[in-house]
Amino acid sequence: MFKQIFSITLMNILSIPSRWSTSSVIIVGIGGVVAVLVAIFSMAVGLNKVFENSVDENRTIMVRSGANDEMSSNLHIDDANLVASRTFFETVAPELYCVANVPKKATGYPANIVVRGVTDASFDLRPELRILEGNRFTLGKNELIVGRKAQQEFDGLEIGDRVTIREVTWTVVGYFEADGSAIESELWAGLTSVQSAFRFEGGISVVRARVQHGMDIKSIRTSLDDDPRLSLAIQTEADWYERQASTGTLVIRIFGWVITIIMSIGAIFAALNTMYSAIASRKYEIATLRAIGFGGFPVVVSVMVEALLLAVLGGLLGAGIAYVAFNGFTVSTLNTSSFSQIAFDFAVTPELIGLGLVVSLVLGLIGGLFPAIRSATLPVTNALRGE
Amino acid sequence: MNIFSFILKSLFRHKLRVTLTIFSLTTAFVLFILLRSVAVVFEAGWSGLDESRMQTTSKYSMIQMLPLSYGSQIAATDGVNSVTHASWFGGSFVEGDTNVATFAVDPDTYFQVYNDYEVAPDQLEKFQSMRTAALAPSSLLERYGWEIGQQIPCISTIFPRSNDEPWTFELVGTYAGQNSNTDGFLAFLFNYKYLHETYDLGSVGWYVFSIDDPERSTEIAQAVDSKFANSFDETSTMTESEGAREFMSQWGDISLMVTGILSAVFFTMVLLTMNTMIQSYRERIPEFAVLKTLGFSNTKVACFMIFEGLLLSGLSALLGIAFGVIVTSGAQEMFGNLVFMYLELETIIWGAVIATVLGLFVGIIPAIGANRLRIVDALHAR
Repeated sequence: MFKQIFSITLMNILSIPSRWSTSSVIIVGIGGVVAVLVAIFSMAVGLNKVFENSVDENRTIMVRSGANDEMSSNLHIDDANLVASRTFFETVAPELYCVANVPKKATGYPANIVVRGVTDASFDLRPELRILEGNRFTLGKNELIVGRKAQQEFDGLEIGDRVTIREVTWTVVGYFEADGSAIESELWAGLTSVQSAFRFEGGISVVRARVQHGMDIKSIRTSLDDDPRLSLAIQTEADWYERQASTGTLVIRIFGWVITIIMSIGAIFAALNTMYSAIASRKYEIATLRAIGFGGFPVVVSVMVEALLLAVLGGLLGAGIAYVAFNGFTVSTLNTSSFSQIAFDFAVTPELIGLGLVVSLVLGLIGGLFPAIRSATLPVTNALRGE
Repeated sequence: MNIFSFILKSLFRHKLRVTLTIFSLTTAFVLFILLRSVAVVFEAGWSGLDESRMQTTSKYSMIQMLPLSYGSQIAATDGVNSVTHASWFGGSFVEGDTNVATFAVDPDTYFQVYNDYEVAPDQLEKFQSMRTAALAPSSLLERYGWEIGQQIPCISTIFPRSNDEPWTFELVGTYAGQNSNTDGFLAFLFNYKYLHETYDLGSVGWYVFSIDDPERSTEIAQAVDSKFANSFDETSTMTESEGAREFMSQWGDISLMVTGILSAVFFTMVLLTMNTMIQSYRERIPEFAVLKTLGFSNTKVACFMIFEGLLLSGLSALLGIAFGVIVTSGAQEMFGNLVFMYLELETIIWGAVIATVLGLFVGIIPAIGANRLRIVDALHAR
C-alpha cells in the first residue's frame, strides 16, 4: 500500500509542471491570502512589540489611583519624595507626561506628540535608552532630545531645530533609541522646564521606580495603600503596557481575521478549481491505475499531497512577499489613552510565517479533499470510456 | 436561441469551474464593500457633517480643556449664530468597555447648534431641567438593554469620584441623527452642570458653533483664534468636517492600507478569473471555427468572449455586493463599538465600475485570440 501511495504521489508531483497554468491558480489564490494575513498581523505584532520591549520585571509604575493612563494621572513631586523614602525602591523617577502639537511628515497636519519631563533618574531606570547622536539635554535649559521614531514621523525635529511648544522655544540637541519601545515616539526634556512651560509647577504624572530585587509587588502595594498621605496605584510595567496595547492590537487582529476568513473562502474555491481540473486532466490515468489494481486510498492520498504541496508553495510565496514588502516598515497611529502618536514597525516574525503556512495547509486540505474523494470514487469503466 | 442565452450557455459550459470562479470572485467584492465602508469614515470624517458648523479646540491637544469664559467671547464674534460646548468624559458603563463616547454638554444650547438632531420636546425639557439627566442614541439602549427612566452607573477615568464610586445618570430619553447609519457615531450626553458642580470645573472640552455663511468659515476661524492668541489657552478653530478629517488622519493612513489590501485581493482574483477564461477559450477553439464558418464575423466572435467576461464578473459583483452589504451591517452590529463603518451608495457604484473594468479585462485576451483565429487552424485543433 505504501509503495502504491509513494509511486502514485511521485508520478503526480512530477507531472505538475505539465499542468502549470491550472496549478498556479491554487498557488496564487493561497499566496494572496497568506500575504494579506501576514501583512495585517505583522502590524498587530509590531504594535505589541512597542509595548513589550519596554518591560523589565523589576520596573514599576505608580499612577493616581483610578487613572488608566499616564495622561489622566496627576501627582505632586511630594508624592515622589514620599515614595523615594521607602526602602524597597532603588531608583525613583518622577515624570511629567504632556502632549504637544507638531506637524506629521505624512499628512502635514499637526498631531499630538508626547513630551516627557524627566530627571536623571529616568535615564538610570532605562538602561536601554541610548543617545544615538548629539547629547542629553542640560537640566534647566529649554533643550530636548527626540526619540528615533518621533524624528522619523514628525517634521522639524532634526538636531539644531527649534520647536515652539507652549510659547516656549526649545532646541533639539539629540536623538535617542530604546529597543524600539514606546518612548521612541516621545520628546524628552528636563522635568522643571516642562513643568514651567506647561504651567504645572510641582506637578508630575507618574512615578516610575525599580523595586529591589526579590521584593514582592503585593506587599509593596499594601504598604503604599496603608499610607494615608499617598493615593497611588502601583503596577509592574509589564501589566501596565499589556493593558495599553490591548485595544489597538485587538482591532487589528479582529480585522485581520475577518479579512482572512473572507479571502480564504475565495481561495478555497480557487483551490477546488485547481484540484478538480487536475483530476479531470488525469482521469484516464487514474482509471487505468485503478483498473490494474491500485486502491482508492492511494489515489486520495496522492491528490491530497499534491494539493498540500501547491498550498504550501502558495503560503511560502505569500509570506515571502509580505516579508520583503513590509518587514520593518514604520507607521504611526493614535494612542487612544493620550491621543498622541505612537510609531511602530511591521514585524513579520517566524511565528507569523508559521501561522501563514498553517492557514495555507488548512486551505489546501479543504481544497483538495472533495476532488480527492471524487477521483477515488469515479466508476472506473465510465472514466475509461471518457464519460 | 437569442444571443444572451447563447452567451450564458457558453459561459456555463463547464458549470463547476465557472461556478467556483464566480464564488471566489464574489469574495473580492464582499471585501471591497466591507473595507471601503471602513475607509470612507477615515477619508471624509463621518458623513452628515454640516459645513456651517465649526469647532474650537485647544491648539495644543484635543484633551486640553478651554476656559468656560471663552463661550461668550466666541458668541460675540461676527457671523457666529449659537454656541455650545461639550467635554470628553471618558466614561464606561461596563468594566473595561471604554469605546462609547460620553460627553458632558450644555443642555440649553447643544440641540440649537446640532439642530439636525431629533429629540422629543418633553424629553429635551427633562434633560434641561434635571441635573443628572442623560440622553443616549437608541443604539446604546439596545446594546446595554437600558430603558428610559433608568438610573445608569458610569465610571470615568478622567473624572473619578472619591472611593471609585460610579457617577449615576438618569436616562431621560433618546436622540437621533438625521441619518440612521450614523447612529453609531453619536455620544452618550449628560448635563454639564452635574460635572461642573461635582468637580468645581471651570473649563470645557471644546466649543461648537453654527455660522450664518459657510463661505466665511476661514475668516470666522481666524477671528475666533485671534481673540485668544497669546493667552495660555490658545485655540484652533475649523469647520467640523475639517476637524473630523484632521482627527481621523491621526489614526494613520487607513485609506492607503485598505487600498493596498484591496489591490492585493483584486490582483489575485484577476489572475484566477483570467485563468478560467483562457482555459474555457482553449477548450472551445473548434467551436469558434464553426461559428465563423456559419458566418459570424471576427468581431462578433470576439464580442462573445468580452460579454462572457462581463457576465462572469457582473454575476460575481451582484452576489458580492449583496453579501458585502449583509456582512457590513453584521460587522457594524458586532464590532460597532470598536470600529466605525459607514456604507455609502458611492461604494456600491464603485463596486459596479470595478466589475465592468474587470470583466472587460479578463475577456480581452480570449477575445483577441478568438478574433484572430483562422478557421482552418482552429478546426484542425480538434
